[in-house]
Amino acid sequence: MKKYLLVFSIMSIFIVGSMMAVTITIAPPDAQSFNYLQSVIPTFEQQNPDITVQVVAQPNGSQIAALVAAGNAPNIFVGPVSMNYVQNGLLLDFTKMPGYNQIASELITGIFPYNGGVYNIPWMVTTQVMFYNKTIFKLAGLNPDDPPQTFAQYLYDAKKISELPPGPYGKYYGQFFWNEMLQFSWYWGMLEQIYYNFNDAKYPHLIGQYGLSLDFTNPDAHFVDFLKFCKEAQQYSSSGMQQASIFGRNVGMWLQFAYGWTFNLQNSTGGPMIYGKDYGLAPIPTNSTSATAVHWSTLAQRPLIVFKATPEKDAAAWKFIQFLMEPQNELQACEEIGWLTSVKENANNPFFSRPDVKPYVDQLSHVIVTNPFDENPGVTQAVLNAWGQYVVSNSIPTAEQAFQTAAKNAQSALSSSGL
Amino acid sequence: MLKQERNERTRAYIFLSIGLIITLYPFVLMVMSSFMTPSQLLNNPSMIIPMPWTLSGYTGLFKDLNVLLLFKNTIIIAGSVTLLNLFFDSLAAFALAKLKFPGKNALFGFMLFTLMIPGVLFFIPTYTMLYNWGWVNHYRALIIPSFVQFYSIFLMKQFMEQIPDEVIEAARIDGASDPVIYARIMVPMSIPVMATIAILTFMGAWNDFFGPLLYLRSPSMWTVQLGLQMFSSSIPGQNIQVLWAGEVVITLPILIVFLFLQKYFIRAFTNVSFK
Amino acid sequence: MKDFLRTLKRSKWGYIFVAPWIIGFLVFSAYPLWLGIKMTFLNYNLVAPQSIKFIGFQNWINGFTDPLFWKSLVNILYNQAIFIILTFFIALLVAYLLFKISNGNKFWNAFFRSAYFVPTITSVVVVMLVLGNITAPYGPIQTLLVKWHLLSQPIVWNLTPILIMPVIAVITSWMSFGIQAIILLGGMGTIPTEFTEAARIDGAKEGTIFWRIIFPLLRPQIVFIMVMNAIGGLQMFTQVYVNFGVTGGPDQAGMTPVLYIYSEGLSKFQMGYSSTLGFILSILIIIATVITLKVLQERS
Repeated sequence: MKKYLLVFSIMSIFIVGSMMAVTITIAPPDAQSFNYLQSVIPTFEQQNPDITVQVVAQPNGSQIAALVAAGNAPNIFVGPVSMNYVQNGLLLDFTKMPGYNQIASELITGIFPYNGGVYNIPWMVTTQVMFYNKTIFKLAGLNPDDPPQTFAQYLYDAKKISELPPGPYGKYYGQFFWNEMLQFSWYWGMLEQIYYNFNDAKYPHLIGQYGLSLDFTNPDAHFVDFLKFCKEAQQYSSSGMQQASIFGRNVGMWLQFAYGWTFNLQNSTGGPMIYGKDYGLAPIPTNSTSATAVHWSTLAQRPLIVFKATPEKDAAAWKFIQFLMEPQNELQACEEIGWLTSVKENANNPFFSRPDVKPYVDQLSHVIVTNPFDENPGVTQAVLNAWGQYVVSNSIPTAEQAFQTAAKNAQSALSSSGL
Repeated sequence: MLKQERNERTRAYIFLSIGLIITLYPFVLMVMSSFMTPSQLLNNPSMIIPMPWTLSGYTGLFKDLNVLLLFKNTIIIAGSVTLLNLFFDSLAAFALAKLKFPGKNALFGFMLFTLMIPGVLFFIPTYTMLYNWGWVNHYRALIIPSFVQFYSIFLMKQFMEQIPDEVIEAARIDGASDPVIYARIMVPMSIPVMATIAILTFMGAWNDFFGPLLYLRSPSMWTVQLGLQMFSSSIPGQNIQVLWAGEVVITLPILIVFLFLQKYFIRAFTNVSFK
Repeated sequence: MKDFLRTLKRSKWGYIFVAPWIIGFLVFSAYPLWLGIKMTFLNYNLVAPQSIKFIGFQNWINGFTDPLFWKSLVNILYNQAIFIILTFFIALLVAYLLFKISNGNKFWNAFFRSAYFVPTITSVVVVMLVLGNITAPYGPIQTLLVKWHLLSQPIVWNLTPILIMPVIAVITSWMSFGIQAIILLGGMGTIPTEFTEAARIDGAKEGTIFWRIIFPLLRPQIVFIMVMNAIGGLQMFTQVYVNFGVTGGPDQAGMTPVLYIYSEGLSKFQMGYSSTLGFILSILIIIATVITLKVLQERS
């Protein structure tokens, strides 16, 4: 009898143990995240012996559909996916998971909600500030410690810089837009922060809250003013990164300088650029002349999302997410991968207090949380195309016409999205 | 050799040399970029000449990316697909070109039709099917479904039709059966087209990115295209010289395969004798 | 009956040789094909399979009346008209030149053949990147065109609807002429030298020899190339996807039928509609192929 009891207990432990052993997959978007995950997974697996985490290659946007159809989607996916997955209920709602409130309260900024639920956890974030070249400012007779605060001042400074005679690095450009990327819908994420500051972030998104109407067509959004500003700024700009960029030391200012670009300053012409000596950082200008005006920027995120599978796998995935969001782990990820922290506790860490990083952390108090899901690339593309045709290729003559074109094409993209 | 022919040949050399500029420019740019410093890649990529030259792209490639493993995996897959195709496609092409059997033309027409259906439609059902068979994360998922390709059969058929029937008839009279005719006559006489198919098939499998991305989960099984893509960083500019070096290195094998196989082209042409 | 069986027995090897291919087709193509046909009568949402409904011919009606689908067809025809002609004549010229030197120095022969095949083996990613830079507003080509006064100012072709297809046709042409040239070269190599020798002794000029003797004997290769152009060209996808994503660029000028099918099925998850469009496209490709074959068989 005792023998059978022993065998039975051992068997049940094995059976229950193997039932509890769960394998989940996580799909990161790039090599740094990949390496980081490989290095921390052993620690996690030690703390959670019944969970195995496997890192897999991140499937291409539409391949996710095939994986989902077969039931083989990665459990955790790092990065934006189409809004369709949220709307069709394929993603895990984190508000239903234990310990969610604690994670949410630790974040510096809010999370973009959908229909009362939360479907992404911002693992790391980034935002933009204005980069300006102090050496060029001095050359142009501008005060290097007084960067422009309004768009009018910005244009004035850009004009003065572009009137300089060519220097050791060639012709000087007042400012820069990365126009080569206009054909890709993600590029709106590099222009929208400028647009925010034309309407004090009251109409930051292109599409309205319920996805049924366009927000940027509202006259108070000042989209036309935004277009006009860009057109004039383009006059003082190179045609794109191929022709001249801030890294060539011949461009005065850049409004699209997100935190991740800092790395490239090491590869500037003539050696690395030094903060404070060669360049400075300041918030993006606004169209308001008030001294207390807020300078806005976007909060772009590295969202962690979970494709629902079985309850055990979902729970295991959530456990791993909680692990990644622990302050010291998140900090290490930010350091290795080159993004800003999303966790309050880390904002005061010496790593983020360095003089060339602090402006970004400060900027985090004035960000608009963007939708981490690809909402409607057709709408974004319509806006970018009109912008490009008016600002860059001059095939649309006036800002009003460009606005009409954008509105018309965006509306038809919205209507045909079949919601 | 007539003087006229020699003049024509000289003229051909001249035109071909001029055309090299257009043909090789992107490739040369790619090779040159692999020797450029990150600073030059960021600021002056179109200058063509690296100033200064650096090997950091290549050292980074072999240090951070397990290139040899990626090569091994890709050779296994591409090599298998090529060999299987050479065998099965030439058999089918021979049958279509020279053998008589009822329903042959209908079969050819129907198979031609299947090429006209955009591959996109097959994509999801095929993945679901192979996933249910447990083939995900195995090489066979990339090899077996591609073991025959109609494109190759079609090309070989066109070529084989030009081989004179008399040669085959003569062999038949000597008592050779169809398999013997295939092995002793068709294959040796089809070397040029088989070399072409070998190059194209190998290249297609070597350059395939979406297939491996979908079916090869573990990094230890990744192919060169997949490994290189996964190595790219989201931060623009980081590792870029390694990526260029990577592009050069993964193009080399195909170039070598081509250089090697086109010797057979020449040999086949000089041996051709139709009487 | 006996005759029939005897015919079958004699054809035994024919059937055996095509059997692997048929089996491969049945397993890997027939099943997805069958599923696809079934789907055209459903409104199947890929990620919400529980909501499948039978809707008869609704998808087909929508497909035939979909203005964006027809626009994508116009786009691809515009693109292919330029591509097919451009690529074929370049390939023919290159093949002929390579043929002319094939009797000469072995090293240069191998060198030039490899060099002209390089565009084909360069990866699509690298090609789009490099050619994208070359054709950019301040890239080498446009700078030269402006200097020679052929262009008044640099153009951003990626944002100019009418230029998108032609530029992509030229880029694709660059990538594909190598394969066509190799195929034609293979064909030229099988032409018995007695024909051209005889003509030369008769005093014929180079042009005559080429167009009267060599070109007509390339018929099988030309048929192959043109049919594959009809079939493959109408399905162009990768170049526009890499360049514009699923939106198809400004005014959808870069939208090709397969890109549209892809976006409907895999981005919007409308598998039923996307399958229908796929089959409509196939029908159109069949028509195009038949026309191509008929035209090429006429010339004798």
